[in-house]
Amino acid sequence: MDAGVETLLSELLTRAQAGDRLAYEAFLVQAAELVRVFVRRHARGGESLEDVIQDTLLAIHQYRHTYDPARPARPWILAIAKHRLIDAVRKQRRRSATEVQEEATTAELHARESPAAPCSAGLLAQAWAALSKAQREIIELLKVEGYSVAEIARKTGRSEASVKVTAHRGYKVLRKVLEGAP
Amino acid sequence: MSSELIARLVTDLRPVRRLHTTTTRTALWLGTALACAVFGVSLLGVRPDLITQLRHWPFVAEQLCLLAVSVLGAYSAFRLGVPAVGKTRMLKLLPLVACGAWIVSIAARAAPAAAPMLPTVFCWRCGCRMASLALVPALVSLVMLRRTVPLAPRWSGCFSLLAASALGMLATQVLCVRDEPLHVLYFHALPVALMAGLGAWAGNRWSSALTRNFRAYQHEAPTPSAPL
Repeated sequence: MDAGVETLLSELLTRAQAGDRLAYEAFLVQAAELVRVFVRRHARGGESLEDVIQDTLLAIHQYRHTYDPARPARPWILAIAKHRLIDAVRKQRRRSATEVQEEATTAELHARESPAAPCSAGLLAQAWAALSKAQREIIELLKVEGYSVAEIARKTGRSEASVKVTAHRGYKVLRKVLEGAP
Repeated sequence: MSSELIARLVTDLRPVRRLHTTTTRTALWLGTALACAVFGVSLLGVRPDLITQLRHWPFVAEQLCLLAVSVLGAYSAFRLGVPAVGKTRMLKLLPLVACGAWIVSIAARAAPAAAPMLPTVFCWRCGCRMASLALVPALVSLVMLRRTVPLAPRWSGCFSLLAASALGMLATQVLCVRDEPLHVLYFHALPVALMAGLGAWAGNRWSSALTRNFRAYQHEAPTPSAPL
Protein backbone atom coordinates (compact mmCIF):
# COMPACT_ATOMS: atom_id res chain seq x y z
CA MET A 1 0.00 0.00 0.00
CA ASP A 2 1.57 3.29 -1.00
CA ALA A 3 2.21 6.11 1.44
CA GLY A 4 -0.49 8.33 -0.12
CA VAL A 5 -3.26 5.78 0.43
CA GLU A 6 -1.95 5.07 3.93
CA THR A 7 -2.06 8.79 4.80
CA LEU A 8 -5.55 9.11 3.33
CA LEU A 9 -6.82 6.15 5.36
CA SER A 10 -5.37 7.63 8.53
CA GLU A 11 -6.86 11.05 7.81
CA LEU A 12 -10.30 9.62 7.03
CA LEU A 13 -10.36 7.63 10.27
CA THR A 14 -9.21 10.62 12.30
CA ARG A 15 -12.03 12.71 10.83
CA ALA A 16 -14.47 9.88 11.47
CA GLN A 17 -13.47 9.89 15.14
CA ALA A 18 -14.64 13.50 15.21
CA GLY A 19 -17.99 12.48 13.68
CA ASP A 20 -17.45 13.21 9.96
CA ARG A 21 -19.86 10.80 8.24
CA LEU A 22 -18.63 11.34 4.69
CA ALA A 23 -15.06 10.60 5.74
CA TYR A 24 -16.27 7.56 7.68
CA GLU A 25 -18.12 6.13 4.71
CA ALA A 26 -15.07 6.56 2.48
CA PHE A 27 -12.90 4.98 5.17
CA LEU A 28 -15.19 1.96 5.64
CA VAL A 29 -15.32 1.27 1.89
CA GLN A 30 -11.50 1.27 1.75
CA ALA A 31 -11.24 -0.76 4.94
CA ALA A 32 -13.72 -3.37 3.67
CA GLU A 33 -11.64 -3.88 0.53
CA LEU A 34 -8.43 -4.16 2.57
CA VAL A 35 -10.03 -6.70 4.88
CA ARG A 36 -11.45 -8.66 1.93
CA VAL A 37 -7.97 -9.07 0.42
CA PHE A 38 -6.51 -10.01 3.82
CA VAL A 39 -9.19 -12.59 4.62
CA ARG A 40 -9.00 -14.18 1.16
CA ARG A 41 -5.28 -14.62 1.65
CA HIS A 42 -5.51 -16.08 5.17
CA ALA A 43 -8.87 -17.85 5.41
CA ARG A 44 -8.73 -21.61 5.38
CA GLY A 45 -11.93 -22.13 3.43
CA GLY A 46 -14.50 -23.03 6.06
CA GLU A 47 -15.21 -19.49 7.22
CA SER A 48 -17.67 -17.21 5.47
CA LEU A 49 -15.72 -14.33 3.90
CA GLU A 50 -18.65 -11.96 4.18
CA ASP A 51 -19.24 -12.81 7.88
CA VAL A 52 -15.62 -12.02 8.76
CA ILE A 53 -15.65 -8.75 6.79
CA GLN A 54 -18.86 -7.65 8.49
CA ASP A 55 -17.59 -8.66 11.94
CA THR A 56 -14.42 -6.66 11.27
CA LEU A 57 -16.35 -3.57 10.18
CA LEU A 58 -18.49 -3.83 13.30
CA ALA A 59 -15.40 -4.16 15.47
CA ILE A 60 -13.81 -1.17 13.73
CA HIS A 61 -16.97 0.81 14.46
CA GLN A 62 -17.09 -0.28 18.09
CA TYR A 63 -13.41 0.31 18.79
CA ARG A 64 -12.64 3.30 16.56
CA HIS A 65 -11.73 5.30 19.69
CA THR A 66 -8.62 3.09 20.14
CA TYR A 67 -7.01 4.34 16.94
CA ASP A 68 -4.08 6.71 17.50
CA PRO A 69 -3.77 9.22 14.60
CA ALA A 70 0.02 9.31 15.11
CA ARG A 71 0.18 5.70 13.91
CA PRO A 72 -0.64 4.16 10.51
CA ALA A 73 -4.23 2.98 10.04
CA ARG A 74 -3.56 -0.14 7.97
CA PRO A 75 -1.90 -2.23 10.74
CA TRP A 76 -4.71 -1.17 13.09
CA ILE A 77 -7.38 -2.36 10.65
CA LEU A 78 -5.58 -5.62 9.91
CA ALA A 79 -4.97 -6.36 13.60
CA ILE A 80 -8.73 -6.21 14.14
CA ALA A 81 -9.37 -8.28 11.00
CA LYS A 82 -6.90 -10.93 12.19
CA HIS A 83 -8.63 -11.10 15.56
CA ARG A 84 -12.07 -11.53 13.95
CA LEU A 85 -10.70 -14.15 11.54
CA ILE A 86 -9.22 -16.18 14.41
CA ASP A 87 -12.56 -15.94 16.18
CA ALA A 88 -14.36 -17.15 13.04
CA VAL A 89 -11.97 -20.10 12.68
CA ARG A 90 -12.62 -21.11 16.29
CA LYS A 91 -16.38 -20.74 15.81
CA GLN A 92 -16.21 -22.84 12.63
CA ARG A 93 -14.33 -25.60 14.47
CA ARG A 94 -16.98 -25.63 17.22
CA ARG A 95 -19.76 -25.71 14.63
CA SER A 96 -18.19 -28.58 12.70
CA ALA A 97 -18.20 -30.63 15.86
CA THR A 98 -21.93 -30.06 16.42
CA GLU A 99 -23.03 -29.91 12.78
CA VAL A 100 -23.34 -33.66 12.35
CA GLN A 101 -25.59 -33.82 15.37
CA GLU A 102 -27.66 -30.85 14.15
CA GLU A 103 -28.03 -32.36 10.67
CA ALA A 104 -29.35 -35.61 12.08
CA THR A 105 -31.87 -33.76 14.27
CA THR A 106 -32.96 -31.51 11.38
CA ALA A 107 -33.41 -34.53 9.09
CA GLU A 108 -35.53 -36.20 11.76
CA LEU A 109 -37.63 -33.06 12.14
CA HIS A 110 -38.13 -32.82 8.38
CA ALA A 111 -39.44 -36.38 8.37
CA ARG A 112 -41.79 -35.67 11.25
CA GLU A 113 -43.06 -32.40 9.79
CA SER A 114 -44.94 -34.02 6.95
CA PRO A 115 -48.56 -34.06 7.39
CA ALA A 116 -49.90 -34.21 10.87
CA ALA A 117 -53.41 -33.24 11.91
CA PRO A 118 -54.74 -30.16 10.11
CA CYS A 119 -54.35 -26.84 11.99
CA SER A 120 -56.61 -23.81 12.08
CA ALA A 121 -55.45 -20.65 10.38
CA GLY A 122 -55.49 -18.87 13.74
CA LEU A 123 -53.18 -21.43 15.32
CA LEU A 124 -50.79 -21.26 12.36
CA ALA A 125 -50.72 -17.48 12.64
CA GLN A 126 -49.98 -17.81 16.35
CA ALA A 127 -47.14 -20.25 15.67
CA TRP A 128 -45.73 -17.96 12.97
CA ALA A 129 -45.82 -14.97 15.28
CA ALA A 130 -43.86 -16.94 17.90
CA LEU A 131 -40.86 -17.13 15.57
CA SER A 132 -38.05 -14.59 15.64
CA LYS A 133 -37.54 -12.35 12.59
CA ALA A 134 -34.52 -14.36 11.44
CA GLN A 135 -36.34 -17.70 11.86
CA ARG A 136 -39.35 -16.44 9.90
CA GLU A 137 -37.15 -15.18 7.10
CA ILE A 138 -35.23 -18.43 6.77
CA ILE A 139 -38.22 -20.78 7.03
CA GLU A 140 -40.09 -18.70 4.48
CA LEU A 141 -37.15 -18.87 2.07
CA LEU A 142 -36.69 -22.60 2.67
CA LYS A 143 -40.26 -23.86 2.70
CA VAL A 144 -42.34 -21.28 0.88
CA GLU A 145 -39.99 -19.96 -1.77
CA GLY A 146 -38.04 -23.21 -2.09
CA TYR A 147 -34.47 -21.93 -1.88
CA SER A 148 -31.70 -24.31 -0.90
CA VAL A 149 -29.61 -23.77 2.23
CA ALA A 150 -26.63 -22.66 0.13
CA GLU A 151 -28.75 -20.13 -1.76
CA ILE A 152 -30.22 -18.74 1.45
CA ALA A 153 -26.72 -18.46 2.94
CA ARG A 154 -25.57 -16.41 -0.07
CA LYS A 155 -28.72 -14.30 -0.08
CA THR A 156 -28.67 -13.45 3.63
CA GLY A 157 -24.89 -13.28 4.12
CA ARG A 158 -24.98 -15.99 6.79
CA SER A 159 -23.04 -19.23 6.82
CA GLU A 160 -24.80 -22.46 5.82
CA ALA A 161 -24.42 -23.81 9.35
CA SER A 162 -26.11 -20.70 10.73
CA VAL A 163 -29.03 -21.11 8.28
CA LYS A 164 -29.51 -24.74 9.31
CA VAL A 165 -29.32 -23.97 13.04
CA THR A 166 -31.77 -21.06 12.72
CA ALA A 167 -34.21 -23.21 10.72
CA HIS A 168 -33.92 -26.03 13.22
CA ARG A 169 -34.68 -23.69 16.11
CA GLY A 170 -37.61 -22.25 14.20
CA TYR A 171 -39.07 -25.73 13.62
CA LYS A 172 -38.76 -26.44 17.34
CA VAL A 173 -40.71 -23.29 18.17
CA LEU A 174 -43.41 -24.14 15.60
CA ARG A 175 -43.70 -27.67 16.90
CA LYS A 176 -43.97 -26.47 20.48
CA VAL A 177 -46.81 -24.08 19.66
CA LEU A 178 -48.65 -26.47 17.33
CA GLU A 179 -48.33 -29.53 19.54
CA GLY A 180 -49.08 -27.54 22.69
CA ALA A 181 -52.43 -26.33 21.37
CA PRO A 182 -55.49 -28.16 22.73
CA MET B 1 -24.45 -6.96 2.46
CA SER B 2 -21.30 -5.03 3.41
CA SER B 3 -22.65 -1.93 1.68
CA GLU B 4 -25.84 -2.11 3.78
CA LEU B 5 -23.79 -2.53 6.93
CA ILE B 6 -21.55 0.39 5.96
CA ALA B 7 -24.63 2.58 5.43
CA ARG B 8 -25.91 1.56 8.86
CA LEU B 9 -22.60 2.19 10.60
CA VAL B 10 -22.34 5.62 8.98
CA THR B 11 -25.85 6.44 10.24
CA ASP B 12 -24.85 5.31 13.73
CA LEU B 13 -21.63 7.36 13.75
CA ARG B 14 -21.03 9.59 16.79
CA PRO B 15 -17.88 11.52 17.76
CA VAL B 16 -15.72 9.52 20.16
CA ARG B 17 -13.29 10.36 22.93
CA ARG B 18 -9.94 8.88 21.95
CA LEU B 19 -8.21 6.46 24.30
CA HIS B 20 -5.30 7.98 26.23
CA THR B 21 -1.83 6.56 25.58
CA THR B 22 -0.92 3.39 27.45
CA THR B 23 1.64 5.25 29.54
CA THR B 24 -0.98 7.78 30.65
CA ARG B 25 -3.51 5.10 31.49
CA THR B 26 -0.92 3.09 33.43
CA ALA B 27 0.10 6.22 35.36
CA LEU B 28 -3.56 7.04 36.13
CA TRP B 29 -4.21 3.53 37.33
CA LEU B 30 -1.01 3.41 39.39
CA GLY B 31 -1.84 6.72 41.04
CA THR B 32 -5.30 5.43 42.02
CA ALA B 33 -3.93 2.09 43.20
CA LEU B 34 -1.17 3.68 45.28
CA ALA B 35 -3.65 6.06 46.88
CA CYS B 36 -5.84 3.06 47.84
CA ALA B 37 -2.80 1.20 49.19
CA VAL B 38 -1.63 4.17 51.26
CA PHE B 39 -5.16 4.65 52.64
CA GLY B 40 -5.41 0.94 53.54
CA VAL B 41 -2.00 0.86 55.18
CA SER B 42 -2.74 4.01 57.20
CA LEU B 43 -5.93 2.35 58.51
CA LEU B 44 -4.28 -0.95 59.39
CA GLY B 45 -0.97 0.43 60.72
CA VAL B 46 2.53 -0.28 59.39
CA ARG B 47 4.75 -2.97 60.88
CA PRO B 48 6.86 -1.65 63.78
CA ASP B 49 10.17 -2.75 62.22
CA LEU B 50 9.60 -1.16 58.81
CA ILE B 51 12.42 1.39 59.07
CA THR B 52 14.85 -1.39 60.07
CA GLN B 53 13.69 -3.61 57.21
CA LEU B 54 14.15 -0.83 54.67
CA ARG B 55 17.90 -0.98 55.45
CA HIS B 56 18.04 -4.64 54.39
CA TRP B 57 18.57 -5.01 50.66
CA PRO B 58 16.72 -8.37 50.29
CA PHE B 59 13.54 -6.77 51.67
CA VAL B 60 13.96 -3.72 49.43
CA ALA B 61 14.70 -5.92 46.41
CA GLU B 62 11.48 -7.89 46.99
CA GLN B 63 9.42 -4.73 47.23
CA LEU B 64 10.99 -3.33 44.06
CA CYS B 65 10.24 -6.60 42.24
CA LEU B 66 6.62 -6.41 43.40
CA LEU B 67 6.37 -2.82 42.21
CA ALA B 68 7.83 -3.86 38.84
CA VAL B 69 5.28 -6.71 38.58
CA SER B 70 2.49 -4.24 39.26
CA VAL B 71 3.65 -1.56 36.82
CA LEU B 72 4.55 -3.97 34.01
CA GLY B 73 1.36 -5.97 34.57
CA ALA B 74 -0.82 -2.88 34.28
CA TYR B 75 1.10 -1.59 31.25
CA SER B 76 0.82 -4.93 29.43
CA ALA B 77 -2.87 -5.33 30.30
CA PHE B 78 -3.71 -1.94 28.78
CA ARG B 79 -1.32 -2.23 25.83
CA LEU B 80 -2.57 -5.65 24.75
CA GLY B 81 -6.02 -4.13 24.20
CA VAL B 82 -4.88 -1.66 21.54
CA PRO B 83 -4.50 -3.08 18.01
CA ALA B 84 -1.07 -3.00 16.34
CA VAL B 85 0.91 -1.05 18.95
CA GLY B 86 3.76 -3.31 19.90
CA LYS B 87 5.36 -6.70 20.07
CA THR B 88 2.77 -8.76 21.93
CA ARG B 89 5.27 -11.44 22.85
CA MET B 90 7.38 -8.93 24.77
CA LEU B 91 4.28 -7.49 26.43
CA LYS B 92 3.32 -10.95 27.67
CA LEU B 93 6.85 -11.79 28.76
CA LEU B 94 7.84 -8.71 30.79
CA PRO B 95 5.36 -9.10 33.70
CA LEU B 96 6.20 -12.81 33.88
CA VAL B 97 9.92 -12.02 34.04
CA ALA B 98 9.22 -9.56 36.87
CA CYS B 99 7.22 -12.30 38.67
CA GLY B 100 10.13 -14.66 38.19
CA ALA B 101 12.51 -12.08 39.65
CA TRP B 102 10.24 -11.70 42.68
CA ILE B 103 10.10 -15.46 43.30
CA VAL B 104 13.88 -15.69 42.92
CA SER B 105 14.36 -12.83 45.40
CA ILE B 106 12.24 -14.78 47.95
CA ALA B 107 13.91 -18.12 47.25
CA ALA B 108 17.38 -16.57 47.52
CA ARG B 109 16.67 -15.91 51.19
CA ALA B 110 15.64 -19.50 51.89
CA ALA B 111 18.13 -21.61 53.85
CA PRO B 112 19.61 -24.30 51.60
CA ALA B 113 19.20 -28.06 51.66
CA ALA B 114 17.55 -29.01 54.94
CA ALA B 115 14.73 -26.45 54.89
CA PRO B 116 11.13 -27.80 55.11
CA MET B 117 9.04 -27.50 51.95
CA LEU B 118 5.77 -26.59 53.68
CA PRO B 119 5.08 -23.81 56.18
CA THR B 120 4.29 -24.93 59.72
CA VAL B 121 1.68 -22.26 60.40
CA PHE B 122 -1.30 -21.62 58.12
CA CYS B 123 -1.87 -17.90 57.73
CA TRP B 124 -4.86 -16.75 55.70
CA ARG B 125 -4.74 -13.15 56.95
CA CYS B 126 -2.14 -12.00 54.43
CA GLY B 127 -4.19 -13.24 51.49
CA CYS B 128 -7.31 -11.49 52.87
CA ARG B 129 -5.39 -8.25 53.44
CA MET B 130 -4.00 -8.41 49.94
CA ALA B 131 -7.46 -9.04 48.48
CA SER B 132 -9.02 -6.12 50.37
CA LEU B 133 -6.18 -3.74 49.44
CA ALA B 134 -6.28 -4.91 45.80
CA LEU B 135 -10.07 -4.79 45.40
CA VAL B 136 -10.48 -1.17 44.29
CA PRO B 137 -7.38 -1.17 42.02
CA ALA B 138 -8.65 -4.42 40.44
CA LEU B 139 -12.09 -2.95 39.75
CA VAL B 140 -10.59 0.24 38.36
CA SER B 141 -8.31 -1.71 35.98
CA LEU B 142 -11.18 -3.92 34.78
CA VAL B 143 -13.32 -0.83 34.13
CA MET B 144 -10.43 0.78 32.21
CA LEU B 145 -10.02 -2.39 30.16
CA ARG B 146 -13.61 -2.13 28.92
CA ARG B 147 -12.61 0.64 26.51
CA THR B 148 -9.96 -1.55 24.90
CA VAL B 149 -10.29 -4.27 22.26
CA PRO B 150 -10.40 -7.84 23.64
CA LEU B 151 -7.53 -9.00 21.42
CA ALA B 152 -6.02 -11.13 24.18
CA PRO B 153 -8.69 -11.10 26.89
CA ARG B 154 -7.20 -13.83 29.06
CA TRP B 155 -3.80 -12.14 29.13
CA SER B 156 -5.28 -8.67 29.72
CA GLY B 157 -7.49 -9.98 32.53
CA CYS B 158 -4.62 -11.96 34.05
CA PHE B 159 -2.20 -9.02 33.97
CA SER B 160 -4.71 -6.50 35.29
CA LEU B 161 -5.44 -8.62 38.38
CA LEU B 162 -1.76 -9.51 38.68
CA ALA B 163 -0.95 -5.79 38.79
CA ALA B 164 -3.65 -5.07 41.39
CA SER B 165 -2.74 -8.03 43.60
CA ALA B 166 1.02 -7.30 43.38
CA LEU B 167 0.40 -3.77 44.59
CA GLY B 168 -1.93 -5.10 47.27
CA MET B 169 0.77 -7.52 48.38
CA LEU B 170 3.39 -4.74 48.38
CA ALA B 171 1.14 -2.89 50.84
CA THR B 172 0.54 -6.12 52.80
CA GLN B 173 4.28 -6.62 53.21
CA VAL B 174 4.43 -3.20 54.83
CA LEU B 175 1.92 -4.55 57.40
CA CYS B 176 2.99 -8.18 57.81
CA VAL B 177 5.95 -8.78 60.17
CA ARG B 178 6.57 -12.33 58.94
CA ASP B 179 9.35 -12.47 56.37
CA GLU B 180 10.24 -16.17 56.38
CA PRO B 181 10.65 -17.31 52.77
CA LEU B 182 8.13 -20.15 53.10
CA HIS B 183 5.50 -17.83 54.56
CA VAL B 184 6.10 -15.30 51.80
CA LEU B 185 6.02 -17.98 49.07
CA TYR B 186 2.83 -19.71 50.24
CA PHE B 187 0.84 -16.84 51.74
CA HIS B 188 2.05 -13.88 49.71
CA ALA B 189 3.13 -15.19 46.29
CA LEU B 190 0.47 -17.89 45.97
CA PRO B 191 -2.51 -15.55 46.55
CA VAL B 192 -1.07 -13.22 43.90
CA ALA B 193 -0.83 -16.14 41.47
CA LEU B 194 -4.42 -17.14 42.27
CA MET B 195 -5.66 -13.61 41.63
CA ALA B 196 -3.84 -13.62 38.28
CA GLY B 197 -5.57 -16.90 37.41
CA LEU B 198 -8.92 -15.39 38.38
CA GLY B 199 -8.14 -12.46 36.11
CA ALA B 200 -7.51 -14.79 33.18
CA TRP B 201 -10.90 -16.43 33.78
CA ALA B 202 -12.63 -13.04 34.12
CA GLY B 203 -10.96 -11.86 30.90
CA ASN B 204 -12.36 -14.84 29.04
CA ARG B 205 -15.90 -14.23 30.39
CA TRP B 206 -15.62 -10.56 29.45
CA SER B 207 -14.67 -11.49 25.90
CA SER B 208 -17.63 -13.89 25.62
CA ALA B 209 -20.02 -11.22 26.93
CA LEU B 210 -18.68 -8.71 24.41
CA THR B 211 -19.09 -11.22 21.57
CA ARG B 212 -22.75 -11.73 22.58
CA ASN B 213 -23.36 -7.95 22.63
CA PHE B 214 -21.64 -7.74 19.26
CA ARG B 215 -23.97 -10.29 17.73
CA ALA B 216 -26.98 -8.56 19.32
CA TYR B 217 -25.88 -5.28 17.69
CA GLN B 218 -25.73 -7.02 14.32
CA HIS B 219 -29.38 -7.98 14.56
CA GLU B 220 -30.72 -4.73 16.04
CA ALA B 221 -32.65 -2.27 13.93
CA PRO B 222 -30.52 0.75 12.99
CA THR B 223 -30.81 3.70 15.35
CA PRO B 224 -32.40 6.81 13.84
CA SER B 225 -29.79 9.41 12.93
CA ALA B 226 -29.37 12.31 15.31
CA PRO B 227 -28.04 15.73 14.31
CA LEU B 228 -24.24 16.00 14.91
